Amino acid sequence: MAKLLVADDLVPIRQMVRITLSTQGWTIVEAKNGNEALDLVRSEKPDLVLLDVDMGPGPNGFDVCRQIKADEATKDIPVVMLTAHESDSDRAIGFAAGATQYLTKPFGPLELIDTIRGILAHS
Amino acid sequence: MGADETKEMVESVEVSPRLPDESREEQGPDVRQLLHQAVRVADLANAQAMRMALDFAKVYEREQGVRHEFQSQLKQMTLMEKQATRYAEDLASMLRSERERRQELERALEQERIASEELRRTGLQGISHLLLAATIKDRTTGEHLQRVRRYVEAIAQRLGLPEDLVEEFGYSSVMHDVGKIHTPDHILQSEHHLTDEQFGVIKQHCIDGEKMLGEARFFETARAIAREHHERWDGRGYPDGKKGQEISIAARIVSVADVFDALTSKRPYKDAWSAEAGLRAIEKDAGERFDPEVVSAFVALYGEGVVETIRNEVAASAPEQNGSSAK
Repeated sequence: MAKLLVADDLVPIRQMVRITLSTQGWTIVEAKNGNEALDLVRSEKPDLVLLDVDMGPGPNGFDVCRQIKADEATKDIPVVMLTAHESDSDRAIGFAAGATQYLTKPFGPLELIDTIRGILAHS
Repeated sequence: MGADETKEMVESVEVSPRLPDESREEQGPDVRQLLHQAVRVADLANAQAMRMALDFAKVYEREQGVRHEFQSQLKQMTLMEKQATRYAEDLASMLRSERERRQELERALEQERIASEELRRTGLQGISHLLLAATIKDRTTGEHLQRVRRYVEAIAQRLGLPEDLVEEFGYSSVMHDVGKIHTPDHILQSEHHLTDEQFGVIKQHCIDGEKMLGEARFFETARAIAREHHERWDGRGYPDGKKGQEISIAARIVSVADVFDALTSKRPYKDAWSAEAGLRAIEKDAGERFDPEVVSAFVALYGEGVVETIRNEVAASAPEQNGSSAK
């Protein structure tokens, strides 16, 4: 069964994501900021990482993504950005940082599940 | 901002008017004193104004911070609101499509139910035709089948079987001897003891009957009954020598009903026994030829007068020997 990491500073968003994804039988690990996300990516080795961009102090989601991709041990873990930043330039930054997919808030449960399922099936 | 700093700023603002020069001294000490007093008041007012301005600045600064905080929280709340709305919409549409799918399934199920009900009706109708055909050909067989069916239903009910099984056992019992269509009449109606060879032919009717009833689910019980209604509880029956629970409950019931009715009916080779004598014979064979539980159910029914009622009702409902075909 797949293990997924969700990084977001907002508790309700993390809850929504957790409840939505747990319907698929996936295990969810939560981080509330960039540093926690990086620690958990290294220790938990999730099958996929969901990253918010603005997560308060510390590295933002783009930074976290870059660091995941820079580390030989974690660079193959697919990253999905999940953010309210919806401009094309932000998307470009996300993909340049190494993200596999870029979802904008508000996101729908089906959209989230389908995206993740697609990526997991591919990898 | 400390008090010293405030003082410094106050001093830096020059509001004191220039003191009148020496030439004006003749104006007298009173004027000088008044002027000094005025300067002091002005300085005080200035300091007060500065102090207030600084306090306002502080309050403003704090306000700004609160406002910033408030704005960022407002932004989060707006995002959450949009997020929640989006989720609710998605979930609502999922529910809608789920409900539509369920309704579709229910419709399909209902149609399936109607179709299977239709099939069942057709089957039952076929069986009534079979009964009628048997009755027209020879009244004895027709009445025998009707009585056996009624006994079987009564016993099944008495054993506590569900209503649909009671009905199924009943209609299925009608076909227990269909295999006899292949058995030559001279053997069936023989008044003498059968030879081994002839007995072999008789046995075959169970196997033929099962085969004739095909594959349909509707005749599943009928097939079991056709095949097993001559099996014995102790395993000494035919054609397979099955024993006890290996024999289907439907066949075990039919066996009791069939034998009782054969004993209490007139046959070419014997007179009809009384119901009392027939019952005693059945009771004697409980645990050997018959399932004891089925026998006790039948004995109980006999005690309640159900067996007698069935015998009378079938006799009364039977069509007249002449004119039955005219109906």
